[in-house]
Amino acid sequence: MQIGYVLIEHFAVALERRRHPELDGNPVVIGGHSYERKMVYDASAEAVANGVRTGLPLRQAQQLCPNAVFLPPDLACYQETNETFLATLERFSPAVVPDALGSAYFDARGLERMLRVKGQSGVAGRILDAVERYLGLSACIGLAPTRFAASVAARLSRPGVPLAVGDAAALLCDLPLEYLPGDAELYERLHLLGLSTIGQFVRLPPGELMEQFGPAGVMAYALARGHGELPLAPRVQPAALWQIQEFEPPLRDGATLAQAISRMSAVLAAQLQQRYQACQTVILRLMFGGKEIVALERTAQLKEPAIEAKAIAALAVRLGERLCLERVDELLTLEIVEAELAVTGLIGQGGTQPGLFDAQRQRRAAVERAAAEVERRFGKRLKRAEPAPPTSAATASPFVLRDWSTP
Amino acid sequence: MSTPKIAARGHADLERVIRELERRFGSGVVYRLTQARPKAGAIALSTGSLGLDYVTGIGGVPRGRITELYGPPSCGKTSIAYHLLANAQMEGGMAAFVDLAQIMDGEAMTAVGVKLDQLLVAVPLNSLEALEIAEILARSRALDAIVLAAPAKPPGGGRIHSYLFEALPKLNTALKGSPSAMVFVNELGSPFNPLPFYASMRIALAPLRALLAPGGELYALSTQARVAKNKLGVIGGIAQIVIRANGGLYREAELLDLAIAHGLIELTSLGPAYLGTPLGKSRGQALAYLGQSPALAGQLEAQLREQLCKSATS
Repeated sequence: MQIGYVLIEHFAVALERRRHPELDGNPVVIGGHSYERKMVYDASAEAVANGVRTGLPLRQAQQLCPNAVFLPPDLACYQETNETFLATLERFSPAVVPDALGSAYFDARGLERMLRVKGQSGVAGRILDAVERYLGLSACIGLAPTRFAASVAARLSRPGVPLAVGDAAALLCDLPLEYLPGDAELYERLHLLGLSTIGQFVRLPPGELMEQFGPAGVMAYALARGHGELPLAPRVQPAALWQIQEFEPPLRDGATLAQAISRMSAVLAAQLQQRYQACQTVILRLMFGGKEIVALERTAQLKEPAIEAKAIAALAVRLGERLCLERVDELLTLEIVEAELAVTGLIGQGGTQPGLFDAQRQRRAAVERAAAEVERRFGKRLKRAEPAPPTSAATASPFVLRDWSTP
Repeated sequence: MSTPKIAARGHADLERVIRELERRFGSGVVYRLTQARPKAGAIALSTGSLGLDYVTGIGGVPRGRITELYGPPSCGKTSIAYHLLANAQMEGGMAAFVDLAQIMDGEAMTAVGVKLDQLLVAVPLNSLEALEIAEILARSRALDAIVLAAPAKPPGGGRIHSYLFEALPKLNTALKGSPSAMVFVNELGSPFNPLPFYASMRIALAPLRALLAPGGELYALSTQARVAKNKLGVIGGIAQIVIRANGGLYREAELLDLAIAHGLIELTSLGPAYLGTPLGKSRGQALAYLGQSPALAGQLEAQLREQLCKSATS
């Protein structure tokens, strides 16, 4: 047992229910309002039981499940929570490979000794605890010698109860063919051949499989036998972080652009802080409307690696002013329809050079950032002792603890 | 040839070999265990006790590393930790106190010089939170001292050790190269406690005796501090510390004892005297005189530090 698979079932629905607890027990369909010409993005188990599935038109979903609650998808929230989910797994295992949103493989080798727990179930228990603590969601975990078997084990397990499998073949042989990756046509043809379980499927001669079903059949065959799987490699961190802001109606003045850049810089600075990184380069790309859409881009190096929104925004605003001036000189009008701000040259925060004259201010800012992270992860745990007000005679101690973040 | 002559010749040969090695490979390439050999570049945060700073070999607890202060209850661990926080703030820095044991005493902190409005106090719910908060604070690389007060029986029971095994390597990595001195204040640990393996310095404290005023009331506690582990200097150094009953180190007593031991204060028939100036007829009068003359005490401390530094590097 070396590979683990963590799965948060119906991830988007789970996040919406975390935000709106009153939805618990009700069928939920995510994708948009039922009258919109859009597809189902995710559906709760209650809706799935009524026949709703991902990719179905919303109107059809409403016909199948008329009492469902329809919600528009909040993709940014799902993506952000997925990042937190992956970061949580990376606290345990060095090799985490993301799958769909809310699911990932991890290398489980050696974790027992590292975490000082007994057995693979102990490892899984610690990971489940962490996911519950940091995300407030219940996850399923499967542990098996191969990726495919681990993912199947996770689907078979119940939330909060890990399933560890020593023999992948024994787990798979009695399962229905639908657990294999493939389309409806493949399953139908296999059923016509009288096959109903994965165990029967792996006994077919591989040469004939290739002739009958092509590469899809061979891939399913290899997975079922535990062959042809790629090794788990740590995910590559993106070399840049970016934010995009669309303007409808188009912007016509630089002041509003500066405000938008400040907002995007704050988000980027928060992301850098979460990754313990600093950036060296700022790229601003503006799309100008008019008769035809023109994209202009400018890049500038920061004097020193920065993690503060103020430093990033100051440089980006200067770039924006330069781009706007060029555009106005050329066409005498200004219509900005989209702005994209990116930071690259990401390095560890240890590489930042403390200032010569304002070191104390920088240290203070670093403490405030650390305090903000503690508050984000654990709540208001950081305090400051202050003399108790003279009116509070009930307090035995002459000092009271107040939240650090309270001015 | 008689045995003493053989021994003397052996010593001379050894000294010659050491000189040759130092000539070829640089001074400090070989050293006796009894010699303090401060690690080059090690930066320390003063504990507030002159004697304890001296026996650590580097002038206090190391920055960027983990130090463990341990001992039975009421032996002065917390007082020394408060002094560390005060010293960190005295140099213009910031400090944090992770109060897992819920022992924070604002009055005692103020008495030793801690500026409470500049002190981050973390109140974690359990051991795991405490360790993670300490790691986040260490990563900021902006604090001079982080003190984690651990209770005798931490919430979470036996799982604290598995958390420590997981958290301490990460904490060590976060501390590397940072100016923060990370200090764990512990009761006598269990044999499975992994902290001794990850700490660069361990200081064991043991109460020696209670010091009573003529009226019989307790006014101070004499404590022995022993350097039980030291990756940056020698181990086994012992310092005697006097801690006042109302909190804080009795610096004058320590100063007087060390100055007498190193010959800076002479014991004359008229009582202890410094540079010919009598400090009083008795020890009590000398302590009171030092307490009332901070300039003289400062001069004596500077001279003593210089002398201790010389003897440590010789």
